[in-house]
Amino acid sequence: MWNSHESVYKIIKPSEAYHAFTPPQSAKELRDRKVDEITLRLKQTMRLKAAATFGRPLGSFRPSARNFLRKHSKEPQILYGAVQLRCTKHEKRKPDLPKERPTYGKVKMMDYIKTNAEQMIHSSPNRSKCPKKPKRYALRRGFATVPTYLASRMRTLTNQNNKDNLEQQAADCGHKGTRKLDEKERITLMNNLKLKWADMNARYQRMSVVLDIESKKRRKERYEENLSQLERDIALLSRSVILVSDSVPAKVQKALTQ
Amino acid sequence: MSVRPLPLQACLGFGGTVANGLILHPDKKTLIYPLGTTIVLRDRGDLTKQEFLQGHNNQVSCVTVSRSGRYMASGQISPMGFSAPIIIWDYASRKLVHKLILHKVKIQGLDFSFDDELLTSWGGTDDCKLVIWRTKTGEAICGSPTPVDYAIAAKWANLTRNTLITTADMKINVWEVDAENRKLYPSICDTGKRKRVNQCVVIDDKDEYMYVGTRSGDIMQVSLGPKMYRAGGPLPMIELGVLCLQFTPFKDLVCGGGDGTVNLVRLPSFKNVKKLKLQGGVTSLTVAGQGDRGSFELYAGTAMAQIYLVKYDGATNAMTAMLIQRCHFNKINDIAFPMKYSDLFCTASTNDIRMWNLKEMKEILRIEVPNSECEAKDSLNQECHCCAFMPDGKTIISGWSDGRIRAFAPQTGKLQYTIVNAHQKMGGYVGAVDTKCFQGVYAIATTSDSLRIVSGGVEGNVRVWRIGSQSHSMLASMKAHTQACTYIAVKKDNSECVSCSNDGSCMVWDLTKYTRNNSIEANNFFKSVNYHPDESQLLTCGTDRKITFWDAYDCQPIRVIDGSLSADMLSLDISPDGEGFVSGGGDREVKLWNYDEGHCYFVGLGHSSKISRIKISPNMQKVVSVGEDGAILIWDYKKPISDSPPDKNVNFKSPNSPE
Repeated sequence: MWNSHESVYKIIKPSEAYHAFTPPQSAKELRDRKVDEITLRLKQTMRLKAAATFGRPLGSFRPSARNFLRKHSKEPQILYGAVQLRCTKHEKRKPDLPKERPTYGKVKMMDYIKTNAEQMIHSSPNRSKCPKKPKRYALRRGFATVPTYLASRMRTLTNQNNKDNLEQQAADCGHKGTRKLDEKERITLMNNLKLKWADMNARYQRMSVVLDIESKKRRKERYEENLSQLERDIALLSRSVILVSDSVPAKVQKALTQ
Repeated sequence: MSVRPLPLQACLGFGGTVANGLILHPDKKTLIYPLGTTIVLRDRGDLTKQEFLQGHNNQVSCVTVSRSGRYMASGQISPMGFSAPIIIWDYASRKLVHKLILHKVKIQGLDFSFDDELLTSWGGTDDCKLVIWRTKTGEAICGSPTPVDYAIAAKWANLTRNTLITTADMKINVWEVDAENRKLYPSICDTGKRKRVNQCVVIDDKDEYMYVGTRSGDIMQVSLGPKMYRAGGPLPMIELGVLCLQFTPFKDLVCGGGDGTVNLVRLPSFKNVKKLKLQGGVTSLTVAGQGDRGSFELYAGTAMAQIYLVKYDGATNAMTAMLIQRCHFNKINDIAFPMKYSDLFCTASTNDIRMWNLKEMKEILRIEVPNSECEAKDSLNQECHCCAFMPDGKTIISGWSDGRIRAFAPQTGKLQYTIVNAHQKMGGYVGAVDTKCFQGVYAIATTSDSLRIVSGGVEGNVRVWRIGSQSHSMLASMKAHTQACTYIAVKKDNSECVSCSNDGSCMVWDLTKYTRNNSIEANNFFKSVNYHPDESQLLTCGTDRKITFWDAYDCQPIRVIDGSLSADMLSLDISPDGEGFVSGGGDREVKLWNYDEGHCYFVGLGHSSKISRIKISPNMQKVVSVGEDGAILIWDYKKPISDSPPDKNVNFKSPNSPE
C-alpha cells in the first residue's frame, strides 16, 4: 500500500446540510453581554477572596530558579548614615503634561538686560522683616496665648488620643480624628456596590416598557433613585484615599442629641 | 420479449474535427454539435442539460441550421460504396422530417438558403455531386456533378435564392440556380495567379463580395458581380491554413487557423489586429453576442475537442478565451471506477488520463504524460492502455505503451512511482530497430488489500507486483500466454486471478503460489473476462462475437450466446448484484443483458465507432461506455427484466396440487 495522504474519496466533498445560522448580535445584546461578563468576573474575584484562606492560589507554587535562599538574606538590614525615611504618600504630584502640543521652531527673542532692568525698576523693596506698629487688640493681655482651660483640655485629649491611636496616627499620616480606609476594604465595598448595581440594573432593564399602572411607575422611580445613589457611592469610593472619621459628624450628633 | 432502447443520459465529447460543427442556434440558447453518430443539443450555460438527435448510423460529417432556426440538417460518412443519408430535422419538436438518400460515402457539407426554402448538399471525393433539395417536401430539384475537384465548401447568397457559391481546389464557382426549370448554370471566378485550396467561404450582407479562406492561410475577397479577385490578406499569413471564417457583428472577419489561432481581421484593410492561441486547430466559430464599442463574444470549437468562449473587448483590443467544455479527442482505451464509489471515474486515452465528475459531467483532473521516445513531445504515439484505482483510493495506476506502469496521486495528479520495464520482451532490444511492438502494458488489476498489482503485457506475461509504502518489487512473472494479455480480473479474496489473451486462451492463476490453476482454450481472440459477483462463473467475450459462460472451478463451458451478429465483442461488465451485464463491441451498440436468462433487454445507440470499454457504476445507476471516437457516453442503468405484465393464463400451480 503506497504511502500517500491523497485520496480519491476526498475529491468530491459531500454536499453540506443546512446548518442553523445565528444572526450577529445587536448593539444592545453586545452591551448586555459585556455587562454580564464583567459581573461574572467580579463575582468570581469576590468568591476567590472569600475562599482565600485555602492556601495560595494554584500555580503560585511553581518553582523558580531565581528565588533561592541567598547568603545573609535573613539577617536584618542596617542602614548607615542619615537615611531619611519619607512618607511618599503626600508627595506633591507633578502637574499634568500640557495637552496642547508645544510649538517648535518659534524663537522668542528676549533682551534679558532690559527685562531685568524693568523688573528692578518696578519692583518694590521687601519690607516684611521691618517691624510694624502693632494693632491695638494685639496689645491686650493674654493675646495670642491659649487659655489655660483650653490648654489643659487639649493636653488631656492629646494624651488620650496618643494612647489610643498611636499606631493608627502613624499610618494615617497624622490626620487627627480620622483613619484611612483600608485598600482591601475599599475594593471589597466597591465591588459589592457594583454587584448590587448590576443586579439592580438588570432588574431595571427587565422592566416592561409600558408603565401602565401606578406601582410600576413608582418602582421605576425607586430603581432610578437607587441606581443613581449607588453610582454616587461608587464614585465616592473610587477615590484613592478615603478618610473615615471616628467621631459622629456634627449634624448627626445634633440629630442624635435632640 | 422486445428490445427496448437504453436511454442516453449524457455525452462527454465533441466532434471537433467536423468543419463548422459547433453552431449556436439563432435563439442564442442552444449549442449544437456533432458527436459520433449523434447530434447534441446542449444548453448554452448548463452542461448537464443535453438532448440528442439520433438517426444516423455512422459518423456525422456535417451539421447546419437554417437561418430562421426552424430546420436542422446533418449528413454522415458511410462505408465505401454505401449511400450516405442526409437528415432534415425539425428543431422545435426535435423530430426527423426527411431522410434524403442520393449521395454516397460522405456528405461534405450542407447549407440552407436564406428563406429556408432550399437546401444544398455536396458530396465528398468519392461522390462529387452537388444537389439542391426542397426543404419542405424533401424532393431533389436539380443537381450537377462537381468533377475531379469536389466542392469543399458552399454557401447560399444572403438576399436571393438564385445564387450559390462553391469553393474547391484552385476554383471558385458561382452557380445560378433556376429552381423552376430545375437548372444549374455554373460560372468560374477569376482569381488571377492565386491558386489556392479554398476551404471556407462567407458572403457579406449585400451580396457584393465573398471572402474565401484558403489552405495557404490567407483570405481572398472576390466580387460576386464581375466574379473577379479584388483584395486579399492578411500578412503574414495564418499558419496551417484558414479553417473557418465568420463575420463579427461589426462587419469584420474572424477566422480560425489550423495552428489554433483565432484571428480578428479588419475590413477592408485585411489587417490582423488580434490573435489568440487555443489548443488544437480552430474548426468552427459561431458568434454568440455583441457588446458596445466593438466588443463581441463567440464560441470556438477546436480539433482537440475543446469548446471555448472567446471574448473580444473592443475598447482595449483584448481577446480572452474561457474553456467551457473539454473532452478526449482521441481513442479512449479504458474506464475505471474507484471501489464502491460512483461519483467519479477516470478514462485512459492517448497521452493522458482524465478524471471526471459523474454528477456534474466535468473534468476534475488531467494527467498528461509527454512522450519521451519521440522527439516531438506532443506526438500521439504514447498511449495509456489501461487504468485502475487502488482500492484504498490513494493511487491511480495505469499501464502505458512504453512498457511502464505509472502511478499517480488522485488529487494533484503527481507521479508517485513508475515501474520501469514492467512489460518488455527480453531480447527485444538485441538488433531490433523498432522495439515498440515488444513493449506495453495492456491490462492492469489490483488486489482488494491494495498491496499487489497484477498486470498483463503485450508479450503475454502476467506479472504480480508488490506495492509497499515507499517501494515496489516484482513478486512473480507468469508466462503462459503467447500473445498479448487483454484483460485481468481478480477474485475478491485475492486468491485467484483470471487473464485472457489474444492467443485464444484464458488462464486462471493462483495468487498465493503464483502457478496456473486452470485454463480455457477457444478459437477466439479473448477481449474481456469477468467473474460473476458470487465467483462461481466466468464470462468471456471476444472476436468470435459470442458471450460465453464458464464454470469458475473446472473451466468448462456452460452456455454460449450470440453477443452480436455482425462484429466482435470487445468489452463486458457484470453488475454488482449479478443480475445483469452490459456488453459493447465493434457493432457500436451498448447491450444490457439479463445474466440468468441470457437475453438482451436494452440496446443503446450513440457511438460512432468501436466501443472499447464499458462499465457499470458501482451504485448501479449509470452505464459508462467509451469508444474509439473519443466520446464518453453515460446511460441510465435499467433492470434487465421484461416490462410486459406477467401472463394471466399461466398457472403457477400444477392442476393436481392441493389447495
